[in-house]
Amino acid sequence: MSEVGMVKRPLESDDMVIDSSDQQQRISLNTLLSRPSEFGNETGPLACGEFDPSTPPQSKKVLVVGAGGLGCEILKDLALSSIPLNVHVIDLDTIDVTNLNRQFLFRQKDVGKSKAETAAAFIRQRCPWIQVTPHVGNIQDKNLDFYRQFDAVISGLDNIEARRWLNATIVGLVDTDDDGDLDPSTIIPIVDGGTEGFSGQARLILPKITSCFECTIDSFPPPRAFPLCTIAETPRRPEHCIAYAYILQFPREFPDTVLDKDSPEHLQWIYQQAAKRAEQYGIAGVTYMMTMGVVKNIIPAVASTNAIIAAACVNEAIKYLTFFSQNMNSYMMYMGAQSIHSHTFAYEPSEDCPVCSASVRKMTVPATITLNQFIQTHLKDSSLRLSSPSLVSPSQTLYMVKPAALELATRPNLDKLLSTLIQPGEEITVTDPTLHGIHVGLAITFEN
Amino acid sequence: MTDNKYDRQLRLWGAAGQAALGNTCVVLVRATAAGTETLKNLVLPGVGNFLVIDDSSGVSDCTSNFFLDSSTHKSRAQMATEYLMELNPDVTGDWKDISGGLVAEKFDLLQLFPDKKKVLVIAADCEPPLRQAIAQTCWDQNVPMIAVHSYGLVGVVQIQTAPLLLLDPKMRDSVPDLRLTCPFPALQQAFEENYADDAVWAGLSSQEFGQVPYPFILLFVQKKWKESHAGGLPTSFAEKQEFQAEIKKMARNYDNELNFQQAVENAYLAYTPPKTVDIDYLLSDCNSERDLVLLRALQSFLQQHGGVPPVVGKIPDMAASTAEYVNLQELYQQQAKKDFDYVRANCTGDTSVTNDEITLLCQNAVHLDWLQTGPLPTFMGYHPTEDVVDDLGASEQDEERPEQTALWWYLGFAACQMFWEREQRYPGVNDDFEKDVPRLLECWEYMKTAYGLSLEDTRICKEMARFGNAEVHNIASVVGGVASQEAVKLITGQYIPIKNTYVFNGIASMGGVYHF
Repeated sequence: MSEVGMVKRPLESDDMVIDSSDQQQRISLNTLLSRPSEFGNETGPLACGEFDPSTPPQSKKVLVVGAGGLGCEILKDLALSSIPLNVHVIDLDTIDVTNLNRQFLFRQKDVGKSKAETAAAFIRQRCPWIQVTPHVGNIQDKNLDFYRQFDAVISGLDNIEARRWLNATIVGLVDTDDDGDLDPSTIIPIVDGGTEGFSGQARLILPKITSCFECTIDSFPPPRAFPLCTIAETPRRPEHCIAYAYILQFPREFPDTVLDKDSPEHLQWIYQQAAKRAEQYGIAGVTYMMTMGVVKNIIPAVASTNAIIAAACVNEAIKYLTFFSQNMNSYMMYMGAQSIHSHTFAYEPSEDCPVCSASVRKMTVPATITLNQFIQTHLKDSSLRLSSPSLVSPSQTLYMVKPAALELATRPNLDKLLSTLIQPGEEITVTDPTLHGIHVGLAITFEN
Repeated sequence: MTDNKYDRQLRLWGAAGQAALGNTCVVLVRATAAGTETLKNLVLPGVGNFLVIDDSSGVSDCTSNFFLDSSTHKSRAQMATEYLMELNPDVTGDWKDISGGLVAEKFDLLQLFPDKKKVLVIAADCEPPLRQAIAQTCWDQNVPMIAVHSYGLVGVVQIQTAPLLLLDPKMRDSVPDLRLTCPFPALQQAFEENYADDAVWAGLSSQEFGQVPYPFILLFVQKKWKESHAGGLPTSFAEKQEFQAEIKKMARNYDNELNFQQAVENAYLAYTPPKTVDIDYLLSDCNSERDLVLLRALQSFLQQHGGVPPVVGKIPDMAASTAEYVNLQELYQQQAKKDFDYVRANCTGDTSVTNDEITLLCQNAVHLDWLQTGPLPTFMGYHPTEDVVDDLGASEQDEERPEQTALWWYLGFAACQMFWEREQRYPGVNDDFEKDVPRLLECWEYMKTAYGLSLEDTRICKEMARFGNAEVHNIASVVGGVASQEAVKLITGQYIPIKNTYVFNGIASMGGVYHF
C-alpha cells in the first residue's frame, strides 16, 4: 500500500533507463509547443492568436470555478499540461460522501472539509511544480479586480444562476475604446463545462466575440415544478407524494424550521410522510432514494463524463493560452448513452443578449400595466429570467431593491401605472443581481 | 438508508449494474496516461478488482500521468497500481511486471486468470503486434476488450466483444405504449363499461369531465369516427386535422381542460398502427444459448400476436384524478404481466434466464438489436467490407473544413501504426521529425486506398508526424473517459456501446463513431 506522501520531481536525464524492450520515453505536450504546425491557432475557425514555436510558454494565471466533479478533473488536467501555471480555485462547498464516486481528490476522511482547500492540497502534493491557491466562498463575494487578474477562467459550476453571474461579470470586464473597438487585453475567455449522466457540453466563450452564456439561457429550460393542484389534490405519481410532503406538509408541521435538504432526519421525515400519502392514494414506488432525488433535485453523475468534458475544456484553455493549435468555435455537445453522439458548432450570439450585445430591447406593453405587473411579466417570468430587478429612468428612480431605505421610498411606485412613471422616448435601465454589473436598456411603447 | 457513496451512479445503472461492476476484474496492459485514466474511471465507481500489466522497468512517464511519480525504485505497474488503489478502498489492485518486455508471444490471459472471474481487458497505447496479440487472445477466450490510444491531439477508442444482445438500451421512449389502435381486452372492457356512450360523458360533473385520462377520450372519438367512416381510421392529413377538431368539439371548456389538450397532442396514438417487430434476423446471428432461449420465446409471442410486441406496462403521467390514473395504470400493468407470463412460459431450455432478463426483453422488444463489433481491426492488410466503405464515405463531414472530420485523423493514426510495423518505431519521435514525412505519406496513401476514401489534403499526415506519438494528458483523459464509459456499458449490459471505434480530434474538438 503506497504512502500518500510520494513527491514527484521533474525528470532528469539520469533517470532515463532504456529497458530491454527498447521503449523510448514518449514526448509530451512540451515538445509539441516547440514544433511548428500547420494547424496553429491562427489557422482555426476561432483565431485568437499566432503560434510561435520558438518562444517557450509564459506562465499564465487561471481561475478554476468549482472544485467538484468537473473541478477536480480540471485541476488535474491543468497540472499535467506541461506549461507553467498559477492556478486559483474557488468553491464554497464542503465534501459529501456522495461526491467520492467521481471527485477523486477527496477521500472518506475528507468528508466535511472544504472542497477548494482539499483539492488544492492534493494537487500541490502530487504535482509540486504547480501553484494552486484555494478560495472558500461565493464567487459573488469576489470583486472585479480579483477576476481581472486571470488569463483564463474555467468553470465547472453546477447551476445556471452562478454561471449567469460569472458570465455577466467576465463579459462586463471588456472595455471598448472611443472608436468602439474592443480592447483585447480586457478579454478573458471562459471555458464552461457541464455534465448530466452520460451527457455534457463544453464551450468556449470569448466575451463580445462568441456567444456568451446569457445568449443561450433558452436552451436550459427552467426546472420543472409539478402543478400545485396536482400535488395537493390529484397526486398520481410517487414524485407528487414526495413533493407534497416537502413543499406543503413540512412547512405546515414545522413552521419555524427551515428545511435542510442535507439533513438525513428531515429527509427521513419527508420520505415517511410521502410513503403514507402514496399508500392512501394507492400509488406505488416511493423510495428513500427517490425522495432524495426529488427534494435535492439530484442529477446522476459519473466519473467518465466529467473526465471527458473537463479534459475538452482544459484542452481549449491550453490551446488558447499557447496558441499551439486551433480553438473550437465554440460549443461541443456530447451524448454517450446510446452509442456516442457529439456535435461541435458555432453557437451564434443572440442579437439582443442583455449581457454581450449593446442593443436596447424594445418592448410593447398594455397601457394599463402597473410597474409591479411589468416587473413580474416582462422581467422575471419572461425570457429575461431576472431575479429581483431594479429600474431607473433618466429622470427618476423607478424601483430600487437595495438599499432598504431606497426600496421603501420607491415601493409606492410599484402600484402606479407604468405609463405615468415614464416619458415617451425615455430609455429605462434595468439592473439585476443575476447579471452582475450589466445594465439592460429598455425602450417601452404602450399599446393604444 | 444512509447516503451511499455510489448514489449518483446508482441512478444510472441501478443495483444490478453495480453488482456486475463489483464482479468484474479489469486488466490494464500498459500504465500509460490513457490507460491509467481509463482505470481511474472504473476504480472510482467500484469495479471489483484490477490488474496492471506493464513492462517498463525504469522509464517513468510522469509528466503526463497522474498515477506515476519520478521515483525509480518502483516499476510503472506498481506505482500506478498503488496510486489507483487509493481512489477507492472497495477495490483491490495488483500488478505484474513482465520482465524482458511485453511482447506478443508472452501474453496469455488464461495463465493470468486460472479462476473464471468476469474479465475486461484494456490495452493502452500498444503497438500493432502487441495490440493484435491481445485482441486475438481476448477474441479466442471470449473476453471483451477495449483498445485506447492517445496520440498527440488524436484519441482513439475501439471495442471488441463477442456478439452482445442489447436487452437494456435505456432508450427514452417518446411514444407511449398505449395500444389505442388495438386495445387489449381489459382496456376495451374498461372503455366500454365506463366511457363508450354519449350519455355517460354528459352525466359527468365538470370536475369529473376534466379528469378523465386522455386515452379514454381518444378511444371515444375514435369509436365515433369509425362509426361514420365505415370502420376506418384517419389516414390523410385533412382527416387527422378533422379528428383533432372532433376532440376539441367534445370538450366543454377546452382552454381549461388539460386532459382534452393532451388528447389533441397525442391524437396520433388513436390512428397510428402499433409498431410490429420482426426478430428473425436476430435469431439467425445467435450463438449464445441464453440469448436463443430469450429470442425464441419472444418470437413465439410475436407469431401469436401478429408481430405486436408485449405491452410495456408503463404509462406517462397525464391529467387525471388519482383514482382514474391509478386504475388505468393498473390495466396496463396487468396486461404487461400477462404478456410476461406468456413469454416466460415459452422460455424452454436454459434455466439460467432470469425474470429480470425476460422483463427487459419484453419491455425493449421494439429496440432489440445485436451489438456486433467484429474482431479488432488490424492496420496493415485491413480491407473493409463494401458496407463499411459506403458508410465511411457518407460519414458526416464538416463542409467548410473537411479536415476537421475525425475520420481523417483515424486514417492518419492508422498510417502511423503502419509506419511502426515497417520501421519498428513511430514517425516523428526524434527531433528531426520532418524526415519521417515522406515515408508516412506512403502509409497514408496506402490507408486511403484500403479504406476507399480520398482526401487531397496532406496537412493531416504532416501533423501526425509532428505529434510523434506525444502523450498529451488532456487527450489521454478524454479517451480515458470514453473508454471507461464503454467499459461500464459492456460490464453492466446497459445502454448501447459504440460499434466499434470512437475517434477524437482534439484540434477541432470533434468526435465520431465509425464501424471498421
